Amino acid sequence: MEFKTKILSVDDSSIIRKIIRSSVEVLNYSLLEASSGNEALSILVREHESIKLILLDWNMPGMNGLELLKIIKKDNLYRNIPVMMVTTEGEKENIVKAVQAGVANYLLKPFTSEELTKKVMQCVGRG
Amino acid sequence: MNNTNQGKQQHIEESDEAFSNWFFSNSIKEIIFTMTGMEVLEEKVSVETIKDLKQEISGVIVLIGNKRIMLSLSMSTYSARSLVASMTGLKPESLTQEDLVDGVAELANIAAGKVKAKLSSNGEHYDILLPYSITGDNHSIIHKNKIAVLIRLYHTENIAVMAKVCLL
Amino acid sequence: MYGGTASKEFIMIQEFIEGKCGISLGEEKAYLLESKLASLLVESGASSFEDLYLKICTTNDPDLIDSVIEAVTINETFWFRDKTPWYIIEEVLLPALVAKLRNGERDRIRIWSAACSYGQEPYSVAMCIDRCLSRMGAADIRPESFQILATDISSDVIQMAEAGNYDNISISRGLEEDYKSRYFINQGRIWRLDEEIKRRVCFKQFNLIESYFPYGQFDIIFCRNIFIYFSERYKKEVMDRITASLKPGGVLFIGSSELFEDYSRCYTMEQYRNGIYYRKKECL
Repeated sequence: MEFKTKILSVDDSSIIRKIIRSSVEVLNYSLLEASSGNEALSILVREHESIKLILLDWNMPGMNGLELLKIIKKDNLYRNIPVMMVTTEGEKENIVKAVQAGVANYLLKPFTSEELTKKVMQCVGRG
Repeated sequence: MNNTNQGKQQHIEESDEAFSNWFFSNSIKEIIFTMTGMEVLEEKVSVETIKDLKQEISGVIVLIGNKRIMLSLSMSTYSARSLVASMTGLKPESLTQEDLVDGVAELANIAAGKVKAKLSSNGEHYDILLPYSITGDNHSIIHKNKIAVLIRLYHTENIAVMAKVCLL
Repeated sequence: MYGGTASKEFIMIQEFIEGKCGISLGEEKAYLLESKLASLLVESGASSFEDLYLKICTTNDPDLIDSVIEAVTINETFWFRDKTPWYIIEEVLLPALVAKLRNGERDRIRIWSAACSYGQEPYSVAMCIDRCLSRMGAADIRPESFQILATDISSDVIQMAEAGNYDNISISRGLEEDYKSRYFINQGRIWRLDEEIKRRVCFKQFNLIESYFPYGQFDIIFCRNIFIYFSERYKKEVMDRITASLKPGGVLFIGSSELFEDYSRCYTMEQYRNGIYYRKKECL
């Protein structure tokens, strides 16, 4: 079975995850999807060794993206996986909070699929 | 008959043109273009322009801060299908009702995010609640505060989206 | 009344960015800046955006400058945008250019896509020419007679354009079915552009406000939906440079919604069907 770089997308919108899938698969990466923070944590437990980037929404039911980010960054198994917020949240103070919590990059919605591909390429390339 | 028309006209009157222009200025057009590639025309709405508008799916979202703002995007199933197909690159006929509902709610979510960021740069902080959708043939979203409703129509030859903003 | 007051740090970074790439960051777009520069905040270790802006404005680090420019430039992503330039090329320009190639008046035709973004525009040019030559039965015209240069300010964007791979979403933006089936191979969710077409475009990184342009003159220049982002000062400078890069009698295409108010100094405006193009005057 071919080993592909895996990206994890965490967003409660299935449509956003479909857009992200397009942007990620054009780089020949494979996408894992989670619609909530808890689902994301289950996936991380199993797959963290092959996940090279986490794309994280902010506003979700239950655990929000910032809370999930903090959990990820506290855990020795996952803390080195770069995280990029993909969100509508554009307030400066909140972006600073995300940076302080350990986010590596940020993409504001609305975005084009190419823009996301470019940023994924930059994040995974740097990693 | 004249009185009835005048009454209807008042429902769509915008209370504050400066606010409404600032609020809308290119935000929703840009969002639709970025997410779907569609170049829509923006039009102020009158009774005439929306009388044939089918509302079958609406994405709704509330912002809470100094004011309380409800923003909705309403459209026909056909328009929703075209928009979501363009957003995702998937064939329109392959999309489920759930996809359409999710897509429309997400567009409203993104619109609210832009508005929130603009208000924030104006020094006003808002929280956004999670978006939700309303479905049903010919439904309407009717606000008690009729004077505070701002409406714009975004359309191409084939699709139309009505954006409504109400100060609650 | 609405719009807020820009901080002095924002004004500094606004001027810095304008000076480096001509882009005017309007105050109404100020709220977008932080999200675009967030990764730089992470990398710089600065404690706030204000500190980051100060650091950027006083830097001599070319990599940091490139990263800032890269973060703020906007990329249009459409195939055959505006529809009109394409039938103008097919029905007006190409027949005349092919005639010149045939009678030996010219040995090559040069085309420049300035600010080419992810490649849709220059590849649209290449596909349009290829299809047109085929329709004209111009088997005697070598494809290499048409040289297409595509430039963009961002090296990451150029890298993506050179790869010629497009996702399901971007492939559907403006590309007709017959072009898609003729020039692309679909492998799962990747659409790969035909290698022949890829070979026809030469990509280079280039900043339009740079004073030295080493690529000579062109018969056709596409400079579309770029001027809307420039400040007034740089609009004029860049337009002058574009004009200097166009051969006498050469054609300029700008965005269909853009205004070119003082075109008559150097150009005649020509119309074909619903499309407008600008022809550089032979004698200036």
